[in-house]
Amino acid sequence: MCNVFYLLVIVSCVWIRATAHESGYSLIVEHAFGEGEFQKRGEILFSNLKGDEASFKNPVQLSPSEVRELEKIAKQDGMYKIRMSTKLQEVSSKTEDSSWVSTFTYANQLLGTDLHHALNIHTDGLGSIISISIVPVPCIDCRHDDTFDFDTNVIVTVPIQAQSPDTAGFLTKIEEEKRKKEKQANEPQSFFGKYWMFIVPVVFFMMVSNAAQQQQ
Amino acid sequence: MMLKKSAMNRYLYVCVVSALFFVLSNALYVDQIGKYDWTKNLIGKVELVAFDSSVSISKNVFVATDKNVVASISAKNGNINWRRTLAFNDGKIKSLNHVRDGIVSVTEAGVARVFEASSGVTKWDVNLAASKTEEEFLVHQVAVLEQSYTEGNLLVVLTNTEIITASLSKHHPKVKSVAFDQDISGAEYNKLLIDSQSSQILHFQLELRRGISVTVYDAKQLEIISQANVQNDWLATLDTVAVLEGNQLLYSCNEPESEMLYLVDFTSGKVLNSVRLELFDIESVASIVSVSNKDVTTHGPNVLLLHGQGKVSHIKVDDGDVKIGWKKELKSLREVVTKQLGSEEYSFFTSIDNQDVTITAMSVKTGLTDDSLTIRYQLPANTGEISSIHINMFLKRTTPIGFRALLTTTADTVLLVAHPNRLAWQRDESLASISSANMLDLPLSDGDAGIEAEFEEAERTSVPDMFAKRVKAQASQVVSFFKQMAKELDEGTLFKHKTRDPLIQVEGLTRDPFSLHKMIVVVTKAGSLFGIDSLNGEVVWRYYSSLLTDRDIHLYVQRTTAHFPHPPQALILGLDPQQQLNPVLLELNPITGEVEDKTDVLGGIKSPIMQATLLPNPDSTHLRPLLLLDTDLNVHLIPKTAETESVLKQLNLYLYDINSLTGLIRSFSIKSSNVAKPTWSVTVPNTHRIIQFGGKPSGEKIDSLGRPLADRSVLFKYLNPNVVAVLSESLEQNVDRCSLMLFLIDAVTGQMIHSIVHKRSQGPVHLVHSENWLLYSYRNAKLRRIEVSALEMYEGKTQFNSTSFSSFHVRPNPPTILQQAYIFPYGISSIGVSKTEKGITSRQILFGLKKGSLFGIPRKLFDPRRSLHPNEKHREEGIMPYSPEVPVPPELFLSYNLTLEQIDGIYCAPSALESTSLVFTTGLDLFFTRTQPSKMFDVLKEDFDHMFIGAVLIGLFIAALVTRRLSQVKQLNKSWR
Amino acid sequence: MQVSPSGQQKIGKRKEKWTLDLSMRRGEQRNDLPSPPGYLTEKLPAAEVAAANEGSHLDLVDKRSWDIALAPIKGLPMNIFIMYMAGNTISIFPIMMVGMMFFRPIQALMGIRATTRMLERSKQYILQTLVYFLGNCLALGLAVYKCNSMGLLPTYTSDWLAFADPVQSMEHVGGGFTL
Repeated sequence: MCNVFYLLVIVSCVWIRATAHESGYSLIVEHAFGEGEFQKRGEILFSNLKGDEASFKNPVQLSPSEVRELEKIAKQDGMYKIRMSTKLQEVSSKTEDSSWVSTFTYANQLLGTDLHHALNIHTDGLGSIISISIVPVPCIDCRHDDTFDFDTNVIVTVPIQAQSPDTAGFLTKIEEEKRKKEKQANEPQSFFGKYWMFIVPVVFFMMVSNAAQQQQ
Repeated sequence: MMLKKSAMNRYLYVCVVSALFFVLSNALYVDQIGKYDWTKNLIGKVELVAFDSSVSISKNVFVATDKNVVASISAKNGNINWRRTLAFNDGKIKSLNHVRDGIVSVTEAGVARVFEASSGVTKWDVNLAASKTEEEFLVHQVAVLEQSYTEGNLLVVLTNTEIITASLSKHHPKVKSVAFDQDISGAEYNKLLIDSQSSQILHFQLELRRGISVTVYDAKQLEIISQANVQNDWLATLDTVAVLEGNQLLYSCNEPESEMLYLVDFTSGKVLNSVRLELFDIESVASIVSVSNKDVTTHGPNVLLLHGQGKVSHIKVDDGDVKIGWKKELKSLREVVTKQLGSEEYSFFTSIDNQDVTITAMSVKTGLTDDSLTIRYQLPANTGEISSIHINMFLKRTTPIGFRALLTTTADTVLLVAHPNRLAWQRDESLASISSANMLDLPLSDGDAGIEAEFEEAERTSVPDMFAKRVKAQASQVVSFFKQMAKELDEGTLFKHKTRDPLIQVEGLTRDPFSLHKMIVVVTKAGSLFGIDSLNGEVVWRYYSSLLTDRDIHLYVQRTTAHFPHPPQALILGLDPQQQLNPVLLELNPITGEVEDKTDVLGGIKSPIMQATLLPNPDSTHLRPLLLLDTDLNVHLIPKTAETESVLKQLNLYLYDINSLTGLIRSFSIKSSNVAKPTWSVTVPNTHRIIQFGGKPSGEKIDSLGRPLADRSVLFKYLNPNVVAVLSESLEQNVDRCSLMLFLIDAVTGQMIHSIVHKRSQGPVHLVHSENWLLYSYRNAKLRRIEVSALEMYEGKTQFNSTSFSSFHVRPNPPTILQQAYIFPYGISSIGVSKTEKGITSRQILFGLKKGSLFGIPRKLFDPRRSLHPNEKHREEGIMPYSPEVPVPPELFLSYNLTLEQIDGIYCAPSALESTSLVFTTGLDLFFTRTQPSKMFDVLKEDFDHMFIGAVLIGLFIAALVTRRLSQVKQLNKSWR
Repeated sequence: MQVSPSGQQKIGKRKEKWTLDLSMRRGEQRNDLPSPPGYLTEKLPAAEVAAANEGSHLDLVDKRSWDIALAPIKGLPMNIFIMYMAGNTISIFPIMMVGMMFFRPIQALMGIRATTRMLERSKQYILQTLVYFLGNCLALGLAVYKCNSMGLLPTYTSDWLAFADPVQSMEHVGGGFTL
């Protein structure tokens, strides 16, 4: 009986661990073609509360009419816009406030790379979203078929720690130099040890001149 | 021979040893001070004035200003005798009195100081709020009880919780206080008066709908002598209450059907007498004016009632009887003040009619006045409207009194006016709060302008005609040059310097060949504009308009003087900070100061303006159009012509808008003048707020595209002109949790190029962004020191695209960012960087230090590639080894031994000399100087011995000829033997 | 201590001069001194001598021409040693050496006309001129190599950095805090 109980506990722990990586939160991503309305495109799932890693979840396929619209907009030099909500709850679609971060790219650039792009999301490492940007990435080894599917690569970056003035390193360097100088001063220096570089050429020249004299 | 050799050896030895002691100095020579730099000391907007009361005609005027400065100004010529800046932590200065001991100033936070009147030295100071926290303590009113020399004067301070007295005479003042039962209400419902004869402190407090409660304290023991309540329920302001001699209080009631004057004894609260106002033909009293001195012993039995439009009636209280005296009516009466000196009591009536000020002095007892007691003065143009008047009354021998008036205006100008309409001096104190400054080249001289004019008609005339014209023009220039030289020879000024600056040798407001003489156009927060001559700091032109008061003013220079014959033009945009009023647009010629109102051009703008920027490309008249974006995303161009619209179409313009209140950064793409399309948006975390941003200066010339390394390859710089640096500070005050974040955003695509977080740091942050580097200073809250961080961006060893740069190009690798931080030993109030025309000279970073100096240091000290252990490569490239502290040697102070208080802006402008950059600092003091970061490599030094070298050259040449001839003769003779 | 025959007649009028009159007037013959031993006054027939010496003459000329042609190449090792001693720093001595090393081959190449004329007589003069030319070019190449090792040749990107044009930006940006 006890064994079964323990087994259940272990299994449930494992099950919780297995699904634990699914915890985290997801934020809605919407897109718009040109001046059109924003429509839902998918969700970005952040795997932990810090917002370190993310992946694109539930992507919406492009319908043929949307593809045609994208091509039309590309011909007019229009933009393809993407925006992501910064708050977990439902937000209104006003773009004036800070509940959305948005970015854009020109539609013809996007079509030029066959809809392969990277989404760079910048968070502050404590859960707030700062910015999102979309970069059409030319991809080398992928198939060029006629299916217009978004191929997204999500990259999350956080601000890096700034370097502060390196006082510790400087102090150790000064101490090392002081120690080296002290050691040098302490070492008994013989006369020969200090002045060998003057003595050797003089001896050399004397020998050469003797040899020359003898030859003569 | 041997002796000579040894002497020579010794001489050589001395030379060599002394040469080792020579150290190259970067500092100025003593005689160079003042040649090409000037400084202007200012005090700020005058708020409190105290005349020197020790003598009848004050020689000095003591003022306290909004910049927390206490200063003594000479009444004769307006120069500053001395000036003391108080720390901002002490709060604004609440009162200023001149007493026997000196100048007493009390600040809002309760710090009382006494300064020596002649020198400004602090005699003593005391913190009256020693035991209280900041929020609770607020000083309302201050009075000084003058007692005999042995007893010493007493400083009486009324705060929101208590009355405090401090003795001014001994070295350590005894501070006593008596607290109230509850916090008293606002300052306008309280009056503090003193009685020097009976050493009493009188406190009048108005409680709405209850009446006035009068408390009399004994000044020495701070015990309540009497406390009385004067009951009434209609009194709403203390303006209609006056205190008279003999413990009497006079106040009026304006309630309909009971307009009366009441006379009350305030020690007991009993009504002594009441009179109906109709008896005196008065409808309702606006205010009652008695002597403005806080000492009740100077208040006599006379008061003045102000009622109606400029009507004044004199009331005398005689033994409990309220009698009416004389009556007068004055037009456009603005203010009445009564002053008493000796046995004379006079009232000063000020009437203001547009720019005309009339101040009339009338004897209070008799109501008589005459011309010798009237000052009629017209304010000079562009000095604003009068905001306050301070009268200095003095006794004279012939007429009973004389007086002078110190006027302060809305443009922060201070004027002292004497009888009958003489202006003694004027000080433009709005220059102490400059919001932006531009340095502009002066226009060409007439001769050069003539040459430029030839090119105007270049297409229409043929080549020989143009040649003939050119020859004529140059011939006339030669003739005028010789005439000028002859004139100077006549006067004997041929070799004298025309100006005190040895490099500027052109008089007047024309451009000199090195373009070092500039016109500094300055916009002040008070709403006035000034054009300052950069040679000596004099104001050339000024402009003030009531349209610009209380507005945020932005100056945009659309065209400089470089394009003759088109005149230079600048636009002034005045926006209402509350966004309720319509914007104001003025067109200004920055050299002459002529202003034209062009607000009608803004007629089509309905919503508030969000952003404004000058387009980088000019139109065919070399005018850069101004682009305005309003909150409805409509785009407006000024001037709106087909040409400017095509200029806009050719640019790919992206405008970014940083809203520091919401923390949102947005950008718009503007391709035509119709509408702006929103492109990207970025938000800072809601625990942070944006405090600083830095874009790159437009049209910057970058000298080299990369850095040559020791192995002769090039490290190419990441020269993205669209990068914007945004700094945000956390809202946390706790030292362990506050942080600063820096974001480098590409303003076109919205990509985050780099971002850094500084933990345990806070602002204020000063930022400089240029070329491919960024320098900013912040405060390390944990270690309590100021740190400076330098950032540089590099592309790598190869250039991605060497012809054009577009933010939409997808690069294989992101740029390499190098960052390093250093400790700065002094507080920084502002940072600037030198600017030269071609960018070849190395840059110098200018720091405005809080201790009052301007410090310039070469930027290569802030090279992030400095390392602790430099190897061969570092040495070859000339990179210094890393040391964590920034050295601040005093010989690199551009302000040598001057003290420049509160530096808040450093502006740099290039000159035609590549080695020289002009520096202008603003703040409480103005300072202008030149800096040469790589020494003066393109001009011969001042003391270059032209005469000596010329003489030697000519002498040697003649000697060579002569000796050649001689040797020829000698040889000939020899060959004849 | 000769008294000229013409002067003897005037002996009474002029003082005696102890001079040697060495000037030979035209057509005059000296017949007062005996001729030195082995001196023949008749001229020898030239053709015999030429025929006898032609073989050795040609050999000599050849040898001489080869000497001239190989001179630059023979000088190369010494030049290499001088360059090695001069060092790679930029100071007056190495620069002088390099300058000299540049100048000599160029001067030789300029005067190649005169040298070819000298070499014309030998049989292999084409080969010799070619060798001479090549030798000078090698010397020039050595000088260029020395310049390169001193770092004077613009072979790296950092040398062309000053001539790079500024990059044009395709987009423009403006803005700031909300007004």
